[in-house]
Amino acid sequence: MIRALAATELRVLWRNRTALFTAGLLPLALGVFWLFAYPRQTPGQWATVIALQLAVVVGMSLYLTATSTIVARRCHLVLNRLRTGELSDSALLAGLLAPSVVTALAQLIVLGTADILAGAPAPADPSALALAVLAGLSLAGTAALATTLITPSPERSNVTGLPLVFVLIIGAVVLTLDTTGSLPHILMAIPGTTIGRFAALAYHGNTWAPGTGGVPAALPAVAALIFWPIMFAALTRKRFRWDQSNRKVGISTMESTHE
Amino acid sequence: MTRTTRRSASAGKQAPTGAVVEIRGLRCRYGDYEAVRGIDLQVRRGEVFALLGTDGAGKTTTLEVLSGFHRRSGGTVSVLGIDPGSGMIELRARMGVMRQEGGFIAELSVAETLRLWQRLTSRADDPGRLLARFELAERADVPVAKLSGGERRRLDLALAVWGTPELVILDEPTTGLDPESRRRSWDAIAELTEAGRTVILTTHYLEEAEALADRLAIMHRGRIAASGTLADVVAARPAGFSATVPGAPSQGLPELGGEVTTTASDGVTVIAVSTNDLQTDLTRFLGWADSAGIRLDGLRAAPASLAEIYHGIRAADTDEQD
Repeated sequence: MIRALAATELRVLWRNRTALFTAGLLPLALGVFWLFAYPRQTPGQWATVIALQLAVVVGMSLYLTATSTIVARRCHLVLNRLRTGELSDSALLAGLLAPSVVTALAQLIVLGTADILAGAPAPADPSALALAVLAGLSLAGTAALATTLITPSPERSNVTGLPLVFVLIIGAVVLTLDTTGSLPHILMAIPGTTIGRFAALAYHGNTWAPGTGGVPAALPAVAALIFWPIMFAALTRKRFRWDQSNRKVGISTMESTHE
Repeated sequence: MTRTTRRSASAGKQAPTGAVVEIRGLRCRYGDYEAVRGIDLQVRRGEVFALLGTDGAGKTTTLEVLSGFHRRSGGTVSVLGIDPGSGMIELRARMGVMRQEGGFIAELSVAETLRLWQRLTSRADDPGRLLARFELAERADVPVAKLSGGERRRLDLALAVWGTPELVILDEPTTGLDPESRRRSWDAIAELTEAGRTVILTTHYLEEAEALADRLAIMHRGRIAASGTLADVVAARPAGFSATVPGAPSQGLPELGGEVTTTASDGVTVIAVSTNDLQTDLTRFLGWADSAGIRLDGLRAAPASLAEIYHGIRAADTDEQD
């Protein structure tokens, strides 16, 4: 059933020309632009390019698109309709997120292939690169759900979602340029910075080597990778609104219907 | 016409047996506002049960609790033997729900919407049958965004009855439909009960309740103000008779059990009696007229109508508030 919903949403996404441009073409175009516009002589510079590509793909194709889709479905009372079916609430949200995740993964494959063809070196620690992808997808997916809490209409998602997209992109640059000292660890307290950190670790290596204060270099990033998605998911579970009800006080939340 | 629909709907089905829905002391709050204030209800298998009431009476909240969309703040609820607060997924497989407000993915066509629903439910049905049943076959390839309000409501109903579920909950199913479409929707609901299914519906149309419902409850301010079969509800309220007599009656009216109102104007007097014992009072009144040689013009006697009961409940509450 989740696949049926996801396939339908994917079809709808690709029928929408605006969404096709903002979620499909623009992130790809930006990713290719950075590939050729940014210096890529050293592994560290490649880390920046790859982190930027990851950031723009998960930021635009997944995060902004999923936020906009879910808010639109809520505004048009489609969530109300879907909840009368047999999908659980969690499965329903997963089905709505899935097309954006699939689109983002497809774009990452395209950009990864372009990077290899352009001569990208193999990362020193491929597992850190995999963690960067995992961090991006898990953070953007759960953050999209959490952002719907403060987004009253699909149009407003471009405003409410913009701060995290900026953090993703700036974090991708800052954390791949400055990889030493305590600053990278401190920046892990900001959601969205783990992509840049893992990309840097992937190309600089020594992922698990003791760093500042004897703490393994990747540990704060791993903690952030786990913490932020759980925090966003918990927030969503407690506060998610299924409709735009104007009733006196009540709004049904995920929590209220699962007790 | 409406009576005929109810009789024909009832004719093909077996007498309702067993309880499909049991509600005891249900309470629901929205913050400080208590929308449902301790109601008891039982809906039997195979019957159409109508919930009537004004806006804000608590009908939709009650249905939302039965459907598992809203958490109750008190009382017990059993739907098909399951507590909707904890067994929603199991319930949804056996229950069709038409909410008061339910949207569609606007970019999908009518047929695509039905095909999506086909894959979102474990109940089997034929999209073509439903397209024909709800007169949407010619609109099958039209995007839902381009349907009229009535067509959307019909599509909504088609999804609710998909696979002929054991229990169908319909929140104002015919609001916005033209009379012909409403009549066809009634037929679709009647078909469900002929197949032994149970239907709970809310409506603002009293004739709809009269036409479809085996039993009904009238909610007001979160409470049940009246419930039972239509006959039960009507019998519990005063019936009435009235007549016009020329001039002022020369002899005093007989002693009647009911409440007598006389209005004199233009040389005639209108006598209206509201009574819980129509037969006795009417017999005395007719005997009085006969013995006095008074001709009764425009003599009418009737039980209370559902509309009168409905408006009476509202008026009584307004008086209490005043």
